[in-house]
Amino acid sequence: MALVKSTAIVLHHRDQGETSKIVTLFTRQYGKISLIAKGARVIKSRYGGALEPFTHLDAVFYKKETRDLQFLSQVDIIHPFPVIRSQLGRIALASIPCEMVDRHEAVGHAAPELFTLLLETLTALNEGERGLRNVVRAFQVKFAALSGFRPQLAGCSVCGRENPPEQVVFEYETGGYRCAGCPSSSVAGFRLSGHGVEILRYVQNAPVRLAGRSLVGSELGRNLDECLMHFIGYHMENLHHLASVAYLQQLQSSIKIT
Amino acid sequence: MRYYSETVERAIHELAKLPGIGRKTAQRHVFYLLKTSAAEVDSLSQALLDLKRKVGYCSICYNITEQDPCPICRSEQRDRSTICVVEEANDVLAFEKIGEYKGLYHVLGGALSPLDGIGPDDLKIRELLARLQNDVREVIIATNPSTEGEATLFYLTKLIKPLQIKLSRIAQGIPMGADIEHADEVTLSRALDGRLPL
Repeated sequence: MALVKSTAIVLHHRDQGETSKIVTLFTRQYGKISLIAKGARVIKSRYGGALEPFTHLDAVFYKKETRDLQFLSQVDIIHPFPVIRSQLGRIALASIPCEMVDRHEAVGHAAPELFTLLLETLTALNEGERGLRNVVRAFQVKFAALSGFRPQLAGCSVCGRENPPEQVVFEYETGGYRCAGCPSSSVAGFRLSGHGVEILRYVQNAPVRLAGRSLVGSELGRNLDECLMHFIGYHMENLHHLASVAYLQQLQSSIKIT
Repeated sequence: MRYYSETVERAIHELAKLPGIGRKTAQRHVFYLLKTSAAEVDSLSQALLDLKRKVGYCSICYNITEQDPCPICRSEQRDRSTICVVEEANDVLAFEKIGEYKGLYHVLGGALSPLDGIGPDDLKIRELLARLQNDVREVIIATNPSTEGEATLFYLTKLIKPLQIKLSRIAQGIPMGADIEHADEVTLSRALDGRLPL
C-alpha cells in the first residue's frame, strides 16, 4: 500500500456510516477514484469544507491496487470555486460536467487532458460573468472529442459547403451535419439552425474560458443542449440521461435562474 | 453457502440489509440475539414493529411523530410566527436538544442535489410555501453548510424573499473549541463573511 499524492477535483460525495463520507475524486495522475474520508462529517473534521463537489485540491491517500475504496489521509484546497457555490444556477451548471466525468470515466484510468478540461470549465464557470451555458456546451463538445467522437463541423457532409445554410440536420451517428436541402441519409438527425452550427464550431475551437463570449438566444440554446445531449447519449450510453440536466430543467421550470 | 438453519440465515439476511451492516456483522448480531433472553428479543422485535405501525410524518411540519399533528405543531407554548426550515427530522432533534428555539419547524426531507437528481419537486417545498400564507413573520433556514444545503438555501431565498417575510439563515464558521490555524479556506472565509459587530 503506497501513500500517494495527486491534484484532484471533487466529483461527488455521499455519507457513510455515522461520521464518514465516501468521496469520488477525479485525480490528474490516477483518474477517477473513490475514497473513504473517516470522520469527515463531524463538526471539527480536519477536512472542513474541502470535500464538497467542484473543489480543486491536493489529496494524499493510501492507494492499494486491489482495493476499490482507497483511504483518504489529507487534503489541501487549491481553489474552492466560491462563486460557483454562491449561485444556484452555477451550482446546477457545474454539476453537468462533473456528472459526465463521474459516469463516463473508468476507475483508475488516468485522463490528464480531461482533467485539464474539467478544471478549465470549472474555472470559467467560477470567473465568467455571462454565457455560462456556452461554457458547459464547450465542455460537452470537447469531452466528446476526447472520448473519440469529435463533431465534424467543417462543412456539409454531403455537398461540402462550408457556410451552413439557414437550416441543417445534425447527424448523431457521424457527428457531422448536412444542409436541409441535401439528399437525406437514413442516419438519425436533429434539425438545427445554421447559426447553431457556427456556435458549435466556435465552442469546439475556442478555449473554454472564451466560450461564454458567444451569446445564444434561449430557443437556440435549448436546441443546442438537446442536440448535444442526444449526440453524446447516442455514442456514450451511460450519459444518455443525466440527473444534473433533469435537475436544471426542473429548476428552470419553477424559477428564473442566471 | 448456507451453514446454519433457515431461520438463522433469514435473520442474517434481513439484518445485513441495514446500512453499514455487512454479512459478518449481521452474523455476530444474530449470535448475540440467540444468546440473549426471549424477553429482550421480544422487546426488540416489538419496538421494530411499533416503529412502522405507530410512527409517521406530521401533516404540518413533516417531522416524524406518533400523533398527527406532532407535539411541537400542537403546542400552545411555541411561537407560531417563526418557522425553522431543516433538511431532516434528525436536525429537529439537534435544535430541540439545546432548548433555545421556541418556534415551529419544517422538515424538507432532504436537500437539492443536482448530482443525485434531487430537485424541488422531491422536497416538501410546496408545503412550506403553503404554510407561509398563515401569519408567519420569520423563516430561519437551517440547511447543512454543504453544496446541497446551499443550493436549497438559494432556491428557498428566491421563493420566500418576494413574500416580504423576514428571512435568515443560521451562522456559519469556526466551531467552538476548534483552532483557527486548522480551519480550511472555505470555513474561514464563511466565518469572516458572517462576522458580528461588537
